[in-house]
Amino acid sequence: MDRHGGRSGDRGYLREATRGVALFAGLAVGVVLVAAVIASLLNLVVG
Amino acid sequence: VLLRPGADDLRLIGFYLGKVVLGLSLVMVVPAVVALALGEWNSLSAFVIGAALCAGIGAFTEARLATRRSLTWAHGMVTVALAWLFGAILASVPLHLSGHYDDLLAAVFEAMSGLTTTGLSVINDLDHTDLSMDIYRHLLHFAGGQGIIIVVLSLIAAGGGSIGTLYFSEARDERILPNFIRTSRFIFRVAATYLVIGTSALFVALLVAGFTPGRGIYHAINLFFGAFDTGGFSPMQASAAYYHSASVESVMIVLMLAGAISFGLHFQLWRGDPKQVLRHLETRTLATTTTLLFVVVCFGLLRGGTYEGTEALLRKGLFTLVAALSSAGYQVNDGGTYLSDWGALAPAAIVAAMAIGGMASSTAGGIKAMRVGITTKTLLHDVRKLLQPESALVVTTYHVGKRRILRDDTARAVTSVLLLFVVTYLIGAVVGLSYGGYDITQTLFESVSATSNIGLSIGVTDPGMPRGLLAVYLVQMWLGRLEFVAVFALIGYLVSLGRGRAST
Repeated sequence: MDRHGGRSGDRGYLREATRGVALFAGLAVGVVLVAAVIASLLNLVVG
Repeated sequence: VLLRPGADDLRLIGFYLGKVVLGLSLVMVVPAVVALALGEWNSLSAFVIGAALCAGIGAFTEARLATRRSLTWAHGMVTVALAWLFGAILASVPLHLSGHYDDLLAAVFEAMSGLTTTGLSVINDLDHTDLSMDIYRHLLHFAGGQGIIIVVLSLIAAGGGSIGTLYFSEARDERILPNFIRTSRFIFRVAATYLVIGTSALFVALLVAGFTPGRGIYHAINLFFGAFDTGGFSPMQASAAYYHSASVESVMIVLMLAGAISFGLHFQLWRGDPKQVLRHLETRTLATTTTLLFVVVCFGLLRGGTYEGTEALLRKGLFTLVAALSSAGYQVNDGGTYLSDWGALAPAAIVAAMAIGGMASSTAGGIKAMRVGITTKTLLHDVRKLLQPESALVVTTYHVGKRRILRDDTARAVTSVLLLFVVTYLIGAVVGLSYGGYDITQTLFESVSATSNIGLSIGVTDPGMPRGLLAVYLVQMWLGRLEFVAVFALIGYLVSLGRGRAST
């Protein structure tokens, strides 16, 4: 319990989960964007 | 000198095996409730029989073999090897009773494929299976996927020094949290968080694709288990190709990637430290191999005139590559197209991706990015040593949680397991060739897919395949999931039972 009587563990979990999922989503979007650039370039050069 | 295990050792192993079997009975209760709610009486009776059998065995071991001794890592390794074997046999009971499998071997194969998160399937008429039976297949991915991580981490927590090197290549100091219970809790929190977010995202994507809410939620839950646990079972025979939806495929790519990265790196992300993730040897290895292999896949597909345009390259090439690297094994086209339309280069890149697999301490299979990274470092280290004067001290480092010096014993352990994977790939391919009717592309593709627990199929695995080859793939899935080490421990244990010296 925190000093306001709330369940600090749950809030901490939510904050961590939001941060973790957001950072992972950023990485995943980065992967797809890099793949899109590679595919576009190769499509131009080879296709 | 081998010491013969005593009755106490066997009792201990039996006791913990019983606990695993008891856990399996709980896995069967969930689909039993679904079967009851939906009035799927045949499936309900299959689950009741399966759960009663498992609960009976579990209760017997609890009553007769109870012990206060703790597991040593040697006991643990033997228990793990036997757990996946007996687990698959007992998990196959409801599958066999469903009548969707040609014989008991096919049902055991399917159960092993589920528990090892492989995803190769020999089910007949999947599109008309009871919903509860389908949920059960996907739950096996969850039970086996989360199970292997917890089991391996618990073995390391038990203090097995050399075992850590073999399994994690020096990452044994990188326990996610110092306490095993807290580590397990964190893993389940990550899985639960992604379950909620992933299922919701898939549900929305399926609604956009034209699914009704009822069918949408059913497919979303099953696809989540298949993608995040890098399993690859699908509710439909056509796998991911059934959905014809870019939004569904996009969500699945993200979930497959989430399943392929280690829980250690998830922990760093949750702690808000992405720099640790970017510096990690596994991240860099996966980034490099994914980029190179994607270039090869695109080049092969474009040169062969298979696909044109960026969207097709992403939806077919990138999806299949991520499915291979993550070891989820979902397919966006029929397996035969790899042979008939993809040319030689793109399937070769997919085979390489399947061999590499995902990260250690994730549900992904394959050699693992950690071992590939350390092997590459070892090669570079040896080249540097050749180029330097003999008296020069060459030190190679890598980043896994912290900066580490590459040691000879680490390099040896890593290359041994890597070699075992390669040999197993080749053995499976040769056995496949011996049956005739398949060429080397087909047998190598399927053998790598089975050993690395991927689940992509070029068309060899089907209900009517030769039973000998089916049994070989079954063993390959078991060996690959346990990364050989636990199976060798089991063999050593069996040998010492027969030839060991009695301890005084």
